[in-house]
Amino acid sequence: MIRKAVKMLNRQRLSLIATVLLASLLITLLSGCWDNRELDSLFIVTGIALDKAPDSDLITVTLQIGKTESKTGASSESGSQEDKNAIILKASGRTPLHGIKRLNFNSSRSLFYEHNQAVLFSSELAREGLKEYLDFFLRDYESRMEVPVFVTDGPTDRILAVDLEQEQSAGMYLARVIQDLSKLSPYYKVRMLDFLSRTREETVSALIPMVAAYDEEDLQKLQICGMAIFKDGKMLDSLNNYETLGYILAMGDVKLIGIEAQSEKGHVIFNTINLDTKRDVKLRQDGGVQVKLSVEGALGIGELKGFNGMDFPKVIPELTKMAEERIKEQIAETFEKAKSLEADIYAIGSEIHRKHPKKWEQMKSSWGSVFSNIDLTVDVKVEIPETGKSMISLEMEGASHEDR
Amino acid sequence: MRIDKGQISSRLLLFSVACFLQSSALLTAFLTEITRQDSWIVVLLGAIVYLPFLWLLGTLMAMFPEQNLIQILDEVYGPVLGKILGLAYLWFFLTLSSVNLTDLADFTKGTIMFRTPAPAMSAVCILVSAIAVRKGIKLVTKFSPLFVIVAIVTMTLSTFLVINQFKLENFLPIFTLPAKSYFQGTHIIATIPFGEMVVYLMIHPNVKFSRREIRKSLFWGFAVGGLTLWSTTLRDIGVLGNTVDLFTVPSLITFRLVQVGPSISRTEILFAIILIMLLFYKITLLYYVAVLTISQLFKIRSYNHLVLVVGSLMITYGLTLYPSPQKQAASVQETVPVIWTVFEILIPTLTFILAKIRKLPKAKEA
Repeated sequence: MIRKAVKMLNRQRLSLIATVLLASLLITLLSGCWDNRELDSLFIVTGIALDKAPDSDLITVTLQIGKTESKTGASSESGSQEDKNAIILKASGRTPLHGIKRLNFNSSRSLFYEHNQAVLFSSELAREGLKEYLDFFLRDYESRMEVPVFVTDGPTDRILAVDLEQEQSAGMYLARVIQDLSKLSPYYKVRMLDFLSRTREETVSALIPMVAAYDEEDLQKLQICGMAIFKDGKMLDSLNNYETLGYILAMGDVKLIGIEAQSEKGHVIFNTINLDTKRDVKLRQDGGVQVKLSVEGALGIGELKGFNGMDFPKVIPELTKMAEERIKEQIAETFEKAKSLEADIYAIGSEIHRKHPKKWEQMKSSWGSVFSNIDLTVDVKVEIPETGKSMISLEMEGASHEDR
Repeated sequence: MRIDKGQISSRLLLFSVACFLQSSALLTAFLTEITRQDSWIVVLLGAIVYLPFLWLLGTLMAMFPEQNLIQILDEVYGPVLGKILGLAYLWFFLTLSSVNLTDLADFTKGTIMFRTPAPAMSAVCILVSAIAVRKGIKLVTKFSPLFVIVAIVTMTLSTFLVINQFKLENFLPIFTLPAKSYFQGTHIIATIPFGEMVVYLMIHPNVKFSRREIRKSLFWGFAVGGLTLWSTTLRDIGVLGNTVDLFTVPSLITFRLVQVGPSISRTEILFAIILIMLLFYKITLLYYVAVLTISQLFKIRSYNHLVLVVGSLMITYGLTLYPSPQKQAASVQETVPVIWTVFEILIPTLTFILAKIRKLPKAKEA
């Protein structure tokens, strides 16, 4: 009996030892060695840019690599160059991936795209069409759909190579700028997913923020200079910052932007407190479309200049009128530009498709001309509940002690 | 002859069914490719179509409380035809296990461990599952409540985190696709996630239940699993819009889009965890069912020595099933629902009718 118990105990102990040994073996052998990726063997991509290659049918792929240490394994001879804060790798290829594969020949580290901050397309390439270059971003497992996209005004490599004071790399800078702008209005930020989504809708024109590099007192800077208008994946034209604001106001959900207005009496800059736009799309009997935009919101006074001699109660109605006229004018101007390009940047066609799918089938083929004849009505109603710390300005009546 | 003497409660059966269905909620690409923004409607239609068969499943369990599917087939169709059908079910269970094992390996390879060979991941999964299978139904189903709760919490959390990207207009227009797409989608949903519940006909003798309880557990498990599938589909369409049909794993892209401030982002690892966890559960259950079916067919009293052999068979069979994920997707959309209908709907219905006509099961003589 005792012998049997000892035998049992031994068997249990043996079984335990075998389990521990097997577990140790498995942990050692199956610990993901196939996929080990150490930080010192990676090039962390912070920006990807595509441009047309000079004098050929190829495209240039430029990658911006965030520096993890001072010395890197990149060759500086064949197509790569080091700048102050980031490394720039460049290669030509028939497609983005073809170019990237070529880069592997002059880089000692593997490229890691999970932390990419921005994708840039040059306006020259964008005008020829981007559809054929999007497949890599859609297919690659490391490529992220939430990454913001940009069109560059000028060569893309110049934008990525800009040595900025504010951020370590241009990719990170652009991502942060667009993140800040998206707090003002969500329509400023265009992610890869948004671009893909709009490109898939045949009649809708996608918009992508444009970025330009410039020099200011020996410093290199980047700025958002409007939005590129796309139709069927090809860049048609662009909106400047003023026109972009007209688009933003028409789309609504505006959080905090500045609206500038001027009249004979004075100049004012409003800060939006909230501003939303309701859109009513109606199909006319004659086959046309009528769009009514109802803008409602609250503004605060950011800055006043002029309005000499006027007292505050009279200024408020004047300012309200100025703001309403300005918003109306700005929306209408951008709308007219979109109409002239037959570019449905407002996705009105999608709305008709969603609400009247049968009628849309009849309109779809001639949507460009229908859109260019849209009858637009803009109705603006704003209030000015905030005046800042002061109710009056120094030029207004009652500001001087002598007036009192 | 009951091979596994372990017993589970009807509540554990509820969680087991829920967990089994939830695992399919994360891989919805086979559906969104066909029915796009209307996939949520198709999920509802599929659930409604499957409800009578769920009742049938519960009724068969209540009619034969002490016999599993292989024994029921033997009794209803006789020893020869019963065995032939039993062998066909063995193929079905093995195929189902291998397909899910391949899915798990392919997903892990495609998203987390790009260079690790898929068989290595399948082998690790089978080794862990084998421990549970050897211990029997109690251990196989033990952690299902935990898995269900973790999955629900994670999915709810993820839905809240992407609520700012959710657009109602992404669901429009509705009912504009060809009628064939709705029929195909409904068929897929009714057979692939829901119909697979037929595997529970192998387990119910190990559940302590009354006639009423079994239907209740099945229904509530089905409700929890079905709701998860429905809400996942809704969330993915609402967030991804017209791009939902572009991606092989739409839920993974949805999780990747989470961005609440600079700190809460890149939550796809949560998706990977729940997907691996739920698929692991489903594979373990199917593995157990496959081993039990072999033991039952060949009247083996203890199946412990079969476990690793069947596991190895599952890995190798999985490797030969489809040459590529694209072929698998095409098969899931076109061929699989038709074959699965035979095992999940036709044979159980015929069995029920024959059992009623022959007044089975016959009362045992005292």
